[in-house]
Amino acid sequence: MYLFMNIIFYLTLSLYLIAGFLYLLPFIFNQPKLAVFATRITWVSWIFHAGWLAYHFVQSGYPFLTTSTVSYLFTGWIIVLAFLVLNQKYRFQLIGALILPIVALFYLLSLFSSENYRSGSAWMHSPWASVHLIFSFLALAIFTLTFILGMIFIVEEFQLKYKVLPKFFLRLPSLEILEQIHAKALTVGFALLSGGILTGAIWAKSVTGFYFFEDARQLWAIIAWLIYALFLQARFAAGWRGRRGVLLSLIGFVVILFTFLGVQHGS
Amino acid sequence: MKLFVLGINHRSAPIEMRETLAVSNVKADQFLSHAVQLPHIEELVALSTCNRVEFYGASRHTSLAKEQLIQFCSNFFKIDPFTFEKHAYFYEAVETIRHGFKVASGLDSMILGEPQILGQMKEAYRQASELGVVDRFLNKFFHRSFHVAKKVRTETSIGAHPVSVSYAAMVLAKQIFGDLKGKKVLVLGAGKMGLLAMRHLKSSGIEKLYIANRTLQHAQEIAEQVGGECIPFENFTKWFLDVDIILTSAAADHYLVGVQEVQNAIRQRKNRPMFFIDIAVPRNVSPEVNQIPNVYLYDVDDLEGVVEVNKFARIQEAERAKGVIEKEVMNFQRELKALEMVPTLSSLAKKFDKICRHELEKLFQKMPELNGDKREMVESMAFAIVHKILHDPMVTLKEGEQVIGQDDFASLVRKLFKLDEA
Repeated sequence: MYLFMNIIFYLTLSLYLIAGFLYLLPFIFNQPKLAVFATRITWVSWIFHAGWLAYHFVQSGYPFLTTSTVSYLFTGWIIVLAFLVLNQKYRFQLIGALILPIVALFYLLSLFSSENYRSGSAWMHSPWASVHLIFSFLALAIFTLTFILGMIFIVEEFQLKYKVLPKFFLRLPSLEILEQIHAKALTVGFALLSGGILTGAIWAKSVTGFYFFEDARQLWAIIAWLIYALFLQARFAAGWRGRRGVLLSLIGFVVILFTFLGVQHGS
Repeated sequence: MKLFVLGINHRSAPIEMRETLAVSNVKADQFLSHAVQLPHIEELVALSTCNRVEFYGASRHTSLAKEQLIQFCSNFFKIDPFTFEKHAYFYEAVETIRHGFKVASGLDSMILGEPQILGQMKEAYRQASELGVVDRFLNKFFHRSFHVAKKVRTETSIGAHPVSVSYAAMVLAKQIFGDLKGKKVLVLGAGKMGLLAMRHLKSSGIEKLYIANRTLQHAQEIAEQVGGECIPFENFTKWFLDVDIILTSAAADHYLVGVQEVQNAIRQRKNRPMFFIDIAVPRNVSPEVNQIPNVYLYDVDDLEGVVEVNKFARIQEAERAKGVIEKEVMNFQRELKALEMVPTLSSLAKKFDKICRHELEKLFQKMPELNGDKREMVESMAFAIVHKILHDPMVTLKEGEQVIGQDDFASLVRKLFKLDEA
């Protein structure tokens, strides 16, 4: 079974990479049909991916997502799902060419990072463990998506403003749609991050007796939360539409990355 | 039976001639119902647009059909037949198919790849089929042309690149705002250029169109024409809060829109983007306006730039489209050959069948002693011989690719077995 799981792992990884490459091709060779094909491949791969996760969850049982290997695969799976849903409605082919390689990066992360989130200690017996982890990794998935949307927005905005219009420009979603999805997705991500921080604090309280303790990850998560809070306030109340707001959210994502990858719990 | 097309277009004939031959709906009815009675024209469709007049037909003798049709046109349109012939092009068989596919896909149009021609072609076909002047060949041909045009559109991006200034402006607007439904537009100056752009915008479903013009009366006329609302020219900047797209084409010797007004507006709009299309020369909008965040300003030169790039892109795409068409021409030609063969095959079979029956009849009269069972045996043997003899020629005819000299296989067979005389 271990071998079989490995095969599925590498199969989905290669299918994602192939699909990502196919999404890129229409912009070079003008073959719009390839994108349809790429979407099909992505769906197939995503279903295998789901199978892998389901099998793993059944095997390992509760608590879920206790190692970074599974967590990053879970994150990647959510990102692909979000992309596929958006792709149904909007012209998101180029985004596929960016998102799928990033999903592949999550695969690499799951291979090489082997952090155990508090496993083997009293921490894992708490019912808050999985709730916190699910919130956190959902948030990571959504923020990764908003990061990519934000990057595309910045590039497309630059093109429109300074009139450097390439050929494939017409197949991108419009600025307004990008900006709206970006802001909405960030709201969702923010809610998830808030949930992650909150459940994390409760989890900590249930184990150590304190909501907050000297923990670098908690600290960075709160910094990211503040930046995103600032963005949402600026976007929805002060009307910071467009480039400035998006740039702010990109900074937020850098902090998020640092929270997940740069520091560990307890350090 | 062969397809043919006789026509003139914007390259072959001057505008006066195209005007003379242009057929309105009523005229086309008359034209078609009379022309199809000519002895050598079996089916006919008349396509008439501002850039071309073309008659698609099917005939057994295309050269005779051409002569008759030219003669008929010269009578019908009161035009000298020699001048007409000099400017007209005539294609037959596979050339007709290629030409028709190109026309339907917009490859023969003045603006390469424009989509209107397909609709006009469909209309022409519909009219002819309502009159009952099209049959198997043109039916098949036109349906296939529409299919090919669609295929060209999906497999190449020939239609994706805007090639006129006002169309380019609209595509850019869509790239900024997405769907233009629910967007409001302010048009400053109601000149000729402005009017064209207004029509483009209006057809893309914008919610509201405001028009400001120095002479109010003219603005009102235009507003009535295109369905907009007049606003006073003196303080049009007030509407900046409300509108998303501002199109300027007013005659003025200084900038009508400056940085300050736009900056104020964008602040009050909470940074909702504004798109300025400045098609006036000299320009109406200060170029510095483009520096303001969430404001996009395109002047005529910028738009021309977009158009130039796209013209080149379209030419490239047209090459790819020709490849698609060529493949389809081959396929269709093969199918037509098979279709042409059908009557020949059936009359051949009928003739042999008839001979067989005739001979059997004679035999049975001479030999009345043949009773039920034996009679049946003789009968089935006779038919079996006929079928076996016919089998190979029938198969060869169905494949029917070979051509001998001037004649195709079908007409050779018809001559050989005198199928047309019976």
